[in-house]
Amino acid sequence: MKKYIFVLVTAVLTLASCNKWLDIQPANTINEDDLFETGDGYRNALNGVYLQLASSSLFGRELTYGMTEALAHTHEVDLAYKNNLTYKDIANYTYTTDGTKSIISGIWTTAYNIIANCNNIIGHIADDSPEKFSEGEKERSLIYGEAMAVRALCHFIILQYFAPAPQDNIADEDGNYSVYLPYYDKFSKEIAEYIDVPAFIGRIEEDLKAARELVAVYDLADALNIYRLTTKYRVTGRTFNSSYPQSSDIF
Amino acid sequence: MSFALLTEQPARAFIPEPSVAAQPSKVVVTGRVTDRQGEPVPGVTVYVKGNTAKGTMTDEKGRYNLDITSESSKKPVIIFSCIGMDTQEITFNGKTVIDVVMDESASELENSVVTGYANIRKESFTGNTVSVSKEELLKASKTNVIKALQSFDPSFRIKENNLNGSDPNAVPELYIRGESGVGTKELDVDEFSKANLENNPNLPIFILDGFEITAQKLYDMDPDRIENITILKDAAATALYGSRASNGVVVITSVAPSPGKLKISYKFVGTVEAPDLSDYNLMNAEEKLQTELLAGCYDPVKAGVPSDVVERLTEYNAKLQNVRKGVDTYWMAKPLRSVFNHKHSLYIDGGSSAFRFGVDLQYTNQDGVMKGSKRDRMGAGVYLQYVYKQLSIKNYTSFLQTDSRESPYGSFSDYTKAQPYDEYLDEYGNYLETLRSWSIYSGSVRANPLYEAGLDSYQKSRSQEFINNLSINWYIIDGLRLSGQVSVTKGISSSDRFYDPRSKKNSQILDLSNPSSGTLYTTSGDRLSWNVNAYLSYNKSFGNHNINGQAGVNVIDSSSESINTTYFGFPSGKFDSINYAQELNGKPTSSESTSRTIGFLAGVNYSYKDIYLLDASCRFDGNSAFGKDNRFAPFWAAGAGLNIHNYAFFKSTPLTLLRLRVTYGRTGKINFPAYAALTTYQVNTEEWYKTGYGVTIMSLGNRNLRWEITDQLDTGFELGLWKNRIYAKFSYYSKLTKDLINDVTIPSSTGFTSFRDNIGEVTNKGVELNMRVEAIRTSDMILTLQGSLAHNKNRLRKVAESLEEYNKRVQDTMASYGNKDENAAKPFTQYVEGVSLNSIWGMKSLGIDPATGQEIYLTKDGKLTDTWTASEQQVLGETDPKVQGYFGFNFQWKNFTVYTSFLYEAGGYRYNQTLATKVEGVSIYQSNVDRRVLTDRWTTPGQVASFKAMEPGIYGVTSTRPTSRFVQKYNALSFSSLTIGYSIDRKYLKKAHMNMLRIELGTNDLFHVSSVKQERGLSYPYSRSFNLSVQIGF
Repeated sequence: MKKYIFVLVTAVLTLASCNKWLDIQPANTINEDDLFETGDGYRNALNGVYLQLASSSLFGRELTYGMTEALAHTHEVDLAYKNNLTYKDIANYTYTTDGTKSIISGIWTTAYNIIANCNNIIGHIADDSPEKFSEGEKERSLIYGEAMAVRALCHFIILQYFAPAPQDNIADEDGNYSVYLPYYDKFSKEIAEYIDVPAFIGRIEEDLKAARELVAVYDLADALNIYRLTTKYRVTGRTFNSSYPQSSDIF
Repeated sequence: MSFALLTEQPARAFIPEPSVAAQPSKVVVTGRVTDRQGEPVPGVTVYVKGNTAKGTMTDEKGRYNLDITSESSKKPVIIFSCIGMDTQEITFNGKTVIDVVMDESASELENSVVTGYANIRKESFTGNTVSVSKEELLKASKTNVIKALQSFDPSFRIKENNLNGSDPNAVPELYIRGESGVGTKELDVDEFSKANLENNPNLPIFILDGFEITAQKLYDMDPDRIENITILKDAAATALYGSRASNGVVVITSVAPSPGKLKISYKFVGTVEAPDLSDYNLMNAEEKLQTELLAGCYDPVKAGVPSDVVERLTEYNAKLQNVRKGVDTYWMAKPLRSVFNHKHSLYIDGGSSAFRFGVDLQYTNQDGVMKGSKRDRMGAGVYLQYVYKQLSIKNYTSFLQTDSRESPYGSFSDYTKAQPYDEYLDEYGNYLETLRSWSIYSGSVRANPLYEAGLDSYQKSRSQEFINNLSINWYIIDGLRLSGQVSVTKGISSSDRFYDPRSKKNSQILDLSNPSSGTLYTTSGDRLSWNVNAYLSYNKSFGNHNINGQAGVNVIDSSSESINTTYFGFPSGKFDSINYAQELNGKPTSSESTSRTIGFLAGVNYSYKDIYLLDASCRFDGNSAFGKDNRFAPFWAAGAGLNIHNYAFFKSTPLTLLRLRVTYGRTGKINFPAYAALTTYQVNTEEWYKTGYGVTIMSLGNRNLRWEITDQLDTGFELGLWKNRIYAKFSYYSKLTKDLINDVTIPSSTGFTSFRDNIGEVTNKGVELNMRVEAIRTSDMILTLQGSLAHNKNRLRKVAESLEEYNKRVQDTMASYGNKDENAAKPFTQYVEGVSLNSIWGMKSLGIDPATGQEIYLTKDGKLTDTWTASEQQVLGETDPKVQGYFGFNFQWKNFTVYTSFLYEAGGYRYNQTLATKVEGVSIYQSNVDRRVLTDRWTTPGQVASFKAMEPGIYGVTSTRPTSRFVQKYNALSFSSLTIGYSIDRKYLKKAHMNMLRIELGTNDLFHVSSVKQERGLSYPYSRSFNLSVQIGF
């Protein structure tokens, strides 16, 4: 009997050590398990998300002075786009040329890629302990919350450009809405379900609210700066009153 | 020979001798043991049968003393045994001096199956294998091992490479028993690679002396270094290779030195290679101009330029003037040449049976038929073997360097399209930078393909490989052996692609506004792999029982790294050193990959009375490429067989061999990059935040990736009559490959576009038949006829959604090609259930409508239409042949031999690309065309024709989209090799101190005929070769 136990124990030990030997990490890229081993890794992943938001296919160009301005005709079309036929096509609402197609698909793929990046952060951070982070719970919540907010933002970008306005997304006779976009809240290769516009906005709001709960508590901005973010301030320009505002007023 | 030492030591039966009264007088037997060359053999065990305890051993001079005084038998049997020699039994008959001459056990390889882990007796093995000896191999090809193997196994096939023809640098892709994987799909193919050998899903593995080598290494190997090649096909034969085995295993045994006096052998092979353009049927200048006229290029109305009447006429007359002047450029000949290649192999070996050595040197120069292309190999190796008592130590160290260079002339297709009435030299005899611009319609810049060849651009690569194989065998007790093998391979490779600053291939062409150009792309790679085998094997007979078993562990670690750098801006083509470069074009990039495998294996072969046979083997493999939870997988196989010819009843009949066998098992393969299971992040190094750098996801990993496995059933029989003068082998197999691993396309809303996943199932079912008949066998004449036939049916059985996504992508891509796009005429494969992986897709066609000249298509639901729609394509045929194989004969009369081998295939289909792009759908105005362009064209309403009306094509022509009209039945026959040899009689050689002189004349690919008349070798032409070899031995 002892013999068998010995053999069994040896076999288990051998296999366990094999498993470790077979665990190889690539040298030129970072494995996700290694990245999320430390709090700094989460920071880097969040930095990556912000860098992507600033890329030329989103706010680095197309969503600011690029495609958006062409669509809005903020420049004289014939003059400003004399040498840029792609923007001219966009200004003329021609979306079928190769150039316009690549800008449009760039917005779509980059936004959804950022969403995937956020979802991977969220998926890991949700169950991770605050002790990993040098600033503890505060840092964890900020990263968590910001990732949620960016996820909502990117979905909002997609909604803006790829779905009709909510009032145009009306129910048919049977009370069914046409579905337009998938909302991703998980990092996966599985395709999320396509949903209608009101539901999509609902999901964005849900994410923003969840983000607010996480971020507001630890927000580094002082009360005055927070006040300046409020709608009330922007609309009325009223001066700061210490009893006001609440973090819930921001949205 | 590396495994030859263990088997075939005839069993020493321990039968107690009847006891007789002891002999009083002292009897000592003495003598000397020598080998055939007269050299003493030390270390030979000498003992009396049944009494190993009192044995002795020969000394360095081969002398021994054996005391047999106390033997019970009056006539004891004395046994002389030594590793690597045939054991001798001599009955003592009173003579006390017994000198023994021992023979090397050479026949071992012939009578056993080399699986790489053991040599199992052929008589008792149930696995399906094909063995090829050195002599046979060299008759089929003296320079290309892979090509030669096609003539020995009808299921072993090289994938047709119509693009790269006889390019010496295109390493062939091959497969055994049908293709079971999708690999890189057409839309994702890398333009620069000539063959997809990395992670190829159909490639078998190659084992050289126990260790895996690449297909490229085998391609570059000197065939003279090979003693034997065994192709393992079914699960029972391959299961010991577990997770790598499902495409089959090719086991190569290299030549081991033989003991004796110093032997030197030298072999020279000279090959003349000439391009084979017999499949091209292009027009000459006069015909071409006439055709342009007929097509309406100079009819302003037909050409679509009604106002340019004079201009059209001027162009025609200018061209006519050239033709009359005698300009008829035979463009195809420009980049081609006939070459003389030579190959030298030198082998020196010798030593005693205790210590042997072998040294080999090879040099092969292989120039291709396109000017400037070549592949040169240089290799050396040292083999040492030392036998001490029960221990045998072998070490083989080898070095191989391969230098290859691509032709500066570029793609051959540029020359087959060029117009024969164009001149290519200026008045000073220099290559024209651009060809003459005939009119505004012919384009102001017409590139001269020869211009690039005259520059100093190049593309070359070099790979160096150093291999050390150490193998230790310890013969513990009779039949039991412990083996340990360690192999280290170090490979260094570099490849450079340089564009002369004057080249038009630069991304920024040199001109007034851009004063600097010239680009150098360099890649350097480094590879190290370790491979360790340790196993125990046991081989013994007990009466009627015969057991051969082994158990062990196999560990593989291989890592590689490569660095890509791009330099930009060179002063001239002559100054191509990186020191002259103006700047680095971006940061150098590096890629790295490491993979590890560990396998525990055990196998047993058992036979009872050599009639009832049984095989079982299993392997438990772990691989680093899979996710944590799927890292280990079991593989196994079992087989049973019956040797009917060994029943006593058949002993006196002509039946010498009748074996029935059946095997079943599961094996796997790993053919995807090392890190596919991991989700990895890349670092954005360009911009940093205060809190550090940013990282973004680079690839979406798949932790749940499952092993790709193949279940294979194999059954058949072998029949031999009259001492195997008539021999036949028949096999049926059925392979089911599950969980095919491939790149799949996923919707970009997931954030990614591709992903590696298990995508479906493929079945390959087929039969193989090999026949051999010795028609004549007399003392000095032998005539053997051989032939074979194989049939394989390949079907996709299950297709994941993701592959359907790819099909949609194919349809979208095809629909997006404009009518005048060159790619529009090319059929693309789609993947659906129930069809072959090699199916041809297009729209069914009813031919050309005699009334309108338009093609009439049939939609999937049988409606007639004249518009081509990508989504209405269906399977029009498959390229897999119904039957394929080889046949030929081998004739020997005294010292004279003739060997022939033909390859055939029948019943498959091909899409005749020549008809689609050189007859129809060709812009007659812009390129040279096939002569068939004028025949059978539709001209007038009511005419029944096979081809659409000719278009002048000044503004391009409408491409013919993939249609069943151009799908043709493909039956082909090629004369793959002919070898005539003569060995000069030894008695004439003695005076010259030679012991061997053999001269052979041969040819490869003398002809290729097929039922599809299309151009072969589009980017690189095919060639024929004739060779002369001289082998001298001292």
